[in-house]
Amino acid sequence: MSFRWDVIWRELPQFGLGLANSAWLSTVAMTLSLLLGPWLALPLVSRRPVVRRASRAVVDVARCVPFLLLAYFVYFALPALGVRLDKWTASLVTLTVYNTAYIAEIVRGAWAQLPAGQTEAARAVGFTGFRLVRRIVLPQIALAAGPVFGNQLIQLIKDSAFLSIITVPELTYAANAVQSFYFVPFESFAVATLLYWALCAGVEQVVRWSEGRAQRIRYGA
Amino acid sequence: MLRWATLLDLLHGAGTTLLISLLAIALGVPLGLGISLARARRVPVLGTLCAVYSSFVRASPVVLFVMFVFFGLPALGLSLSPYAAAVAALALNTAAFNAEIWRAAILDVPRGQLDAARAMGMTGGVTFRRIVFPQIWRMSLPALVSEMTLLIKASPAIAVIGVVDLTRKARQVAAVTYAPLPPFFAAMVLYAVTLMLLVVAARGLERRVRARYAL
Amino acid sequence: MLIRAIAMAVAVVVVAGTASAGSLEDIKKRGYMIVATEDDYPPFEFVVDGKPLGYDHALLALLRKVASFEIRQEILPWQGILPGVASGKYDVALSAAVITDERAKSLDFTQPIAESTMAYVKRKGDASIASLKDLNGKTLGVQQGGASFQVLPELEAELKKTGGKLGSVMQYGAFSEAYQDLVNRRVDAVIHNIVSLSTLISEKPDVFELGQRVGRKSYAAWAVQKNSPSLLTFLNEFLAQQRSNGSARELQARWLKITFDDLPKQPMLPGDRPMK
Repeated sequence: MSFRWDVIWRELPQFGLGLANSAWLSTVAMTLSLLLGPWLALPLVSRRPVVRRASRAVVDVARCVPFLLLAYFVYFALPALGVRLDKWTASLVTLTVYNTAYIAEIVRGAWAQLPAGQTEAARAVGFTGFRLVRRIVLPQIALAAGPVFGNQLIQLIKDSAFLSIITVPELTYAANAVQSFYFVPFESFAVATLLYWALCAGVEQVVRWSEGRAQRIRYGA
Repeated sequence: MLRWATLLDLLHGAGTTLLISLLAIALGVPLGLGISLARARRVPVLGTLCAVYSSFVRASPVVLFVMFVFFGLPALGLSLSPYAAAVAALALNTAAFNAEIWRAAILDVPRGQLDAARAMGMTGGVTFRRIVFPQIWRMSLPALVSEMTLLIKASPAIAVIGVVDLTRKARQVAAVTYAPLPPFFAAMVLYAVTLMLLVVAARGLERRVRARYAL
Repeated sequence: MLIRAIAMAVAVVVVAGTASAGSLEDIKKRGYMIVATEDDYPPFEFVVDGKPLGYDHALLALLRKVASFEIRQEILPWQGILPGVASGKYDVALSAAVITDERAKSLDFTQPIAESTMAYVKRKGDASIASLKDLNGKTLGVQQGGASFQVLPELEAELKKTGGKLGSVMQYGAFSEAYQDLVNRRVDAVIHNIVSLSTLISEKPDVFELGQRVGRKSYAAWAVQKNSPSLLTFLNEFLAQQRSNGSARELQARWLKITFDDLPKQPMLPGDRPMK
């Protein structure tokens, strides 16, 4: 039972590149879905029941599609409809579309926690639609829902591992490439696990730091 | 668009997905309880190991963890078939998340109840069985069902180690017909429908638990 | 008590096949041999409607007749087969594994079962690739952990001779996905052994076109863990017998659509070099 860590050491650049790709893909997709999500949250809280129920159904179904299937669909099936994306664009599109439904749901949930009076007052004064979301709702939930968004980012990072199957050279792909070439499955996957854990720990640390700032902004400590 | 024979083939794969998921859930829920108890009771070495294990597993992508269990563990002498590895990996993965759910419920049991039980002479085991467990399983049920949904949603990961689940079936159909749209779309629909049913069931459960036990 | 229950649950999960490969004596004592095959490697091994088929599978059926022990077959993706054999999880990679220098470091091979020189396949009618040198700068598809990946340095050297260079390389888990991307124009050529490519082209002659040979002449054989002489002898005897009684030829004609009558009797590294 001899382990060949020397191979891992030699291929560390490949792991590093994979980690970097995993990180930036998740971050960019998260940013894009943070911009799009609130738009989708609007119909979820609409006062018209038809709009509310229809959008509820869309978001619910969207959150029930497994990420790998969506990635396969976007990458392999869409070309049949004439939409042929390269793997990076396909990855970002899949990650963003997938994540937006979750962000919409988080925004809706956090909004529901705000005192109802606020939303009513804002509406009475004339804030409607996206301005309502942008000026009144988002600033408050951004402070409160930090940890929830952080968790969602961690979830996104983990789901991005599926992109290795459409040959995106992220961390899981790198681990598989190294293990199948040098026959070092244990070492390779153990190192990849460690790197994902470090990445997620980093995200949690950022969340904690931002929570501290949020407290200071709120209570001026 | 999709021949009946192909649809049946896909349903066969869906059956495999459900079977493996159910086995993993059946193992993962009690295993999660064990892990959370080991941490709550502060069992010396095991408790810390469980905490570390839980932290690593929850930060691991499921697909990586599945590959680790199947490809990597043989180096430690533990060799499993693709199907056994799929069940084991999903079970171990969900156990880590279930442990957190159980832990939250355990912490919610009022301390006074445990003290009273001890004062009345109940042993740890009896206290657990008659006081703690009846409360925590009801408190945890909605979150556990939600986690089951997440497990099935992550189950396509087992396709990469060769388990012929719904995802791998869809891939095989696409590979033979060179028409990936029908099988992948059908597979997406099958997963979404199954998961939607579970989500609706979970919501119903949550309402009933809230109503009956005023939690 | 709960801890004990958990320990039991874990033990139950763990119990499935903690096998470690070994010599023939170990296998006979154990009562069974575990072989690993791929699920997407036509015409050598592939799965149709749940049934494993192919050249290797046909040979396995013959092997079962002469073996005094049970032979269990595991069907899994390529990336698990050779590492599994190298680590002792499986006894034999009963898969047409191409003998390469890199693999020879960790595995031993039987005598060749087929020639498996690498070649490339392109879209039919793609005039931009008329010969090997036109692969200069083109996007290539190979298999992760496959011999197609390992032949790339040779291709690069070949391209350098004509002033070209290697383009970007996409590593796929399975070739079926590589072929789909070839159709979708994400890759310009896919590299695989010539037998598998011939099968592909015979199935879809209006979509794909065979290109030229890439790299040196190479052979495919079954792989076992290093230092398993008795197992190797057993397998070699079986293969030699199939050669002498004509079964090998018949199976080659049926599955591979080409017969190899002059395969070497020993495993050979690419370029007809003997094993070190």
